[in-house]
Amino acid sequence: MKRIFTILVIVFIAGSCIKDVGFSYPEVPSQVVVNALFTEDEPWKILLTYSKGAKDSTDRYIDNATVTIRSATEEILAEHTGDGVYSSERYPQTGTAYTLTVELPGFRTITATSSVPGKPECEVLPFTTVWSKYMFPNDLLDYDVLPVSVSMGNTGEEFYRFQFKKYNPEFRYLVSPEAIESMRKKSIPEDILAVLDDLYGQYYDNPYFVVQYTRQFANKYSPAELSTFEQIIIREVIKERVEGYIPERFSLLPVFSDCSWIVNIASYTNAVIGENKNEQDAGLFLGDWNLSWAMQNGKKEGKEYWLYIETCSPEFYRYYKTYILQVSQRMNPYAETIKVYSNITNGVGIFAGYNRQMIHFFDY
Amino acid sequence: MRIFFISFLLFIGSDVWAQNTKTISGYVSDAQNGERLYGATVYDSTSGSGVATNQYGFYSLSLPAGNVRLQVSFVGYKSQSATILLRSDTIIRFSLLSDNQLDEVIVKAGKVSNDKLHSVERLPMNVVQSLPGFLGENDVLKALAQFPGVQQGQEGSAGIFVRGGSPDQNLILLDGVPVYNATHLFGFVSVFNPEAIQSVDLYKGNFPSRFGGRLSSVIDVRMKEGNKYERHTDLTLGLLSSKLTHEGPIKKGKSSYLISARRTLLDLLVTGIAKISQQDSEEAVIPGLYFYDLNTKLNFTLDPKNHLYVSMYKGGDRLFSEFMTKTENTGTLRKDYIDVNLKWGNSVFATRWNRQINSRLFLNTSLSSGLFNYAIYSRFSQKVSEEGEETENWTDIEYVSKVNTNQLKLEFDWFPNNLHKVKFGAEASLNYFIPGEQKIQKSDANNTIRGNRHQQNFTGSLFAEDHFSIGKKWIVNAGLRYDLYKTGQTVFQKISPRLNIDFLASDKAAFSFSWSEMFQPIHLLTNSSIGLPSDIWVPATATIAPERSSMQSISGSFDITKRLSLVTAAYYKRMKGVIAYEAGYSFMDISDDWETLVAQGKGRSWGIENAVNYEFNKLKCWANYTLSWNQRRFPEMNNGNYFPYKYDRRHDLNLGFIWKLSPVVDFSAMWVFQTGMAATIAEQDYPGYPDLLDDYFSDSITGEDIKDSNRIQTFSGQNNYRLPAFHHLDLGITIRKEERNSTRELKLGVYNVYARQNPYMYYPVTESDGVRKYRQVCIFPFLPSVSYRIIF
Repeated sequence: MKRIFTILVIVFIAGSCIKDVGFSYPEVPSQVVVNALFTEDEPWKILLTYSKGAKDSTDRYIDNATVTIRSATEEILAEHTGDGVYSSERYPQTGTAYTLTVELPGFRTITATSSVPGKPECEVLPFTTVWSKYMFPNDLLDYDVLPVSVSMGNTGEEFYRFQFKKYNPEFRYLVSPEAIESMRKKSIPEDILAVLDDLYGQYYDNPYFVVQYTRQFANKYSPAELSTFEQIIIREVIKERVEGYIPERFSLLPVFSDCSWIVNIASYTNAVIGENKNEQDAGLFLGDWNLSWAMQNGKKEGKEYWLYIETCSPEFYRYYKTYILQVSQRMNPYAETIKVYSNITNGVGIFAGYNRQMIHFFDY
Repeated sequence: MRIFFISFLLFIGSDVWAQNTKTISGYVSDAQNGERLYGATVYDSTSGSGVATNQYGFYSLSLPAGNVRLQVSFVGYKSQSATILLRSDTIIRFSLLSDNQLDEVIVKAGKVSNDKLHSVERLPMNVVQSLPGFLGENDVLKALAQFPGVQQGQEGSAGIFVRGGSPDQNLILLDGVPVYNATHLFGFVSVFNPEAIQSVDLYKGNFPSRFGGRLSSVIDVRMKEGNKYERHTDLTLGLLSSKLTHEGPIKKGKSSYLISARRTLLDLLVTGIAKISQQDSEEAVIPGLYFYDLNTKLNFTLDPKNHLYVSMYKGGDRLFSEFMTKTENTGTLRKDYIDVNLKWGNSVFATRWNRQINSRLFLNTSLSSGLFNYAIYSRFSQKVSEEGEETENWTDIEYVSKVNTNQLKLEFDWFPNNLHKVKFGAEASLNYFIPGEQKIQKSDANNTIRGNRHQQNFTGSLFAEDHFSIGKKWIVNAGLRYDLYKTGQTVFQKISPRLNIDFLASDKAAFSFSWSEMFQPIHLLTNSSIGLPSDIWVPATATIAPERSSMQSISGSFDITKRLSLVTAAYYKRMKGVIAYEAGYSFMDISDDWETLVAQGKGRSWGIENAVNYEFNKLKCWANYTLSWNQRRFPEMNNGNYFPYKYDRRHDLNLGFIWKLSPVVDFSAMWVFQTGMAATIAEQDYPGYPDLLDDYFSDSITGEDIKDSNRIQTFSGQNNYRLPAFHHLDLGITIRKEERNSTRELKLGVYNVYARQNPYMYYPVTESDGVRKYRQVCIFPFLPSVSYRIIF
């Protein structure tokens, strides 16, 4: 439907004029932004920034706050470790309600409360690798999908998020500071380097995934220049082996569901969510085109397939759902703007718990 | 209800004249074409009694036996007088001659006369034809937007907003049958072809009890009946569309026919050129867009007391785009096609039987059917030719939405005496809906059907109203309407009182008070109100209840001088059960159950309307100004507080004139100014939780990447900002040449003379430096037009 209307709108407005609208934005004071999603598997980490106005170009981190996390039995003081991050070596406990307090000069005390829900107790049911097609209603595109059924267990938790991930034990490509410096010496322009610098820390299966970021400069540099730049970049990105089950070695895969209790809000999130009212099963579709192709052609990739199941606190669930809706509908001029949920009193953002189960369900 | 009717009849009965009275009844019609005239006045100067004709030109006047001196008059016609000796009940038919003048300016919001004070605003069709048109197309709905209290939605929209209501709250009737989508070309032109229309009446308050089913206005459009005496043809060639109307007698003086057709022709040229020019291209785009209307009407005078009308309308739009890309690689030829085909339109069929039961009782029985059909057919296909073999894969998607209403209506006009004019009746409707059903068929898979399937409901109504005078200063119109709506096992009922009291303070000043309650068992799912056919009609259900409203208004009319008049009015309206998409959803989310996507809330609006008219010789000017507030409240939005409605226009000013420069040249101008639409604009933004959403969006209009598209935006309230003001100036000139057997007209016009860039839509973008902006799309910066018309 969206695709059809996009086509029609483009045809319809051909020949029309587009211009910026001049609004006189009032000076709205910045708010404190809290970003903290916590689970029992990771120590406390809270990111504090200021919100920015329409005419501001960069975010400002908060480095002078006093951040305290309290429960009925303990009080944790999180220390600032740089770039607005406040950390503690202690871990949240499942089922315990935590209250965050942020004291910051010039601002009212910021508070928020949430807890880590119970760990999922799901099980992937035996399945056969029979591929089928699934058409995602929002974009009307066909996806090659592998149906995967999940038994939900009996945790009593209501809010769930599902993701499929592929674990890649092979070499990955990384843009390192050293590579950036080397590219600079080889006359790669600074505006391209600035974009590549943002990619630091991200791992790619293929160096050409890095090169694609230079294409946004197609209007600025000639094809010949861009081609030269690309060759240099391909040579300079570092190929390295990443050890262990670290997050960087997992890549997200498309997931869909036609279950009545599970929602597909947008395909690009690579996650589906649902409110479970005593449902026993979840029907999911793994949408990995590469796996489909490899299986059809008998080419084993040697990769592991994992299902991430998260139980969400009500705060996390509402935040996530409204966040996706706001972002995905932003380019839809017909939808009313949705307010993203926040449980931060005297501020914005999220302080919410979740719990995770990872199931290694398939190898190929 | 029974108590009401008994009281009502006793009240009427107590006023029956005791003296020896006789009744004169009959019809008033146009002498040149035989069409009956609604609202003509029949007045006896001897007794001082008078009455106006009903919608079918019928009147009934009870007078003391003896000499009576009747004067029959109607706006735009020469008055006619007759003196008769009244001895018994008599039937007299009057035929009035048109005086061919622009006698009533569109914007005249009522005049100090004792019969139609403020209850209805009549739009004379000759004035519609004199106004500047959009691409030369004169439009009924756009002309209505000149009235105070009636606002145009936005650039390019023919949807109108009456006293804070939304477009779905307007009951638009074509020969008594509801028209669900009254616009063509995404709302730029209404479906009413002016050449086929006899009259347009607008009720924006003080609704007569015979009307119901919508909250905010009634637009009663009547088709021409056809000339009973002569054949005529009216041909117009225009940039946007061309029209042909033909009418004439079937049996002279007894029956007539009218057929009128309108169609865009430009698309034939554009589509043809596109096909030829891209014949051998590797990429081809074949766009097309057209609309058409076909009106037909037959009318038969069966005998002096029985009359039969049959009217039909069929109109629609079609928008299509065909995209083709061709790639050839090492002997393999691959063609990808995307065909998108939108069709939507209305079909209306109505039969009406007028019967004069006796000299004081008139019955109109109508049986009608209306259908609105909207469909998208799209096909995504791929043909691959390899080594002489061709394979094809395709996906067909069909989306259908339909509304069908079948109605039987009995409507009595009873003239018990000259002080009372009573209307009563009943109507019953069976309605069928397909709110939105999607069928997907693929070459390699089974069919999929999803969405909202067929629904059926029943509406029944009883209504009665009495129009009566108390002394010479007070006129009261009091009525009641009972509505019953049944959907599934759920029944909704509503008794809606209607009251209007006029006080004639003097010959030059009159005041009026009205109170109306309305009931609407149908909703329109829309985000845009821009006339997209994707606005979906849905019936009220057990969970999404019907809409209701209550409105009070007061007004005053003043003839300041012989040439200058002022009408001022104030109103307050409350609405319950209005719907809106939940925040974050739009009509694009068709796969879900619509009831889960909407919120139901309240609305309120209030305002002051002013209409100033000045007439001098051949010049008619008007200035209409409305100051209004329009708000909505939904539990799930804006923390449950009231917020400005998207079309909350604080100021709405319409200025215009029609100047008859000479007998053959008319010059007209209109200037419209409206406060900008309310919009929700983000004031601040912040990053979402890192890596929770990791994707980039591009601007679907310009194709540019949007920086930081995953940031969360915050805003202080729903519709917290105003878009720039909306205004444009339109000019038109009509040059007429009268010949012995024909009239020729050349119309030249310019829409938006000073090229104001009014927004059609807007959307947010973030610049590469992180600064947020909003962009607007404007579609009609400056549009000249020309059309040529010949009537013979």
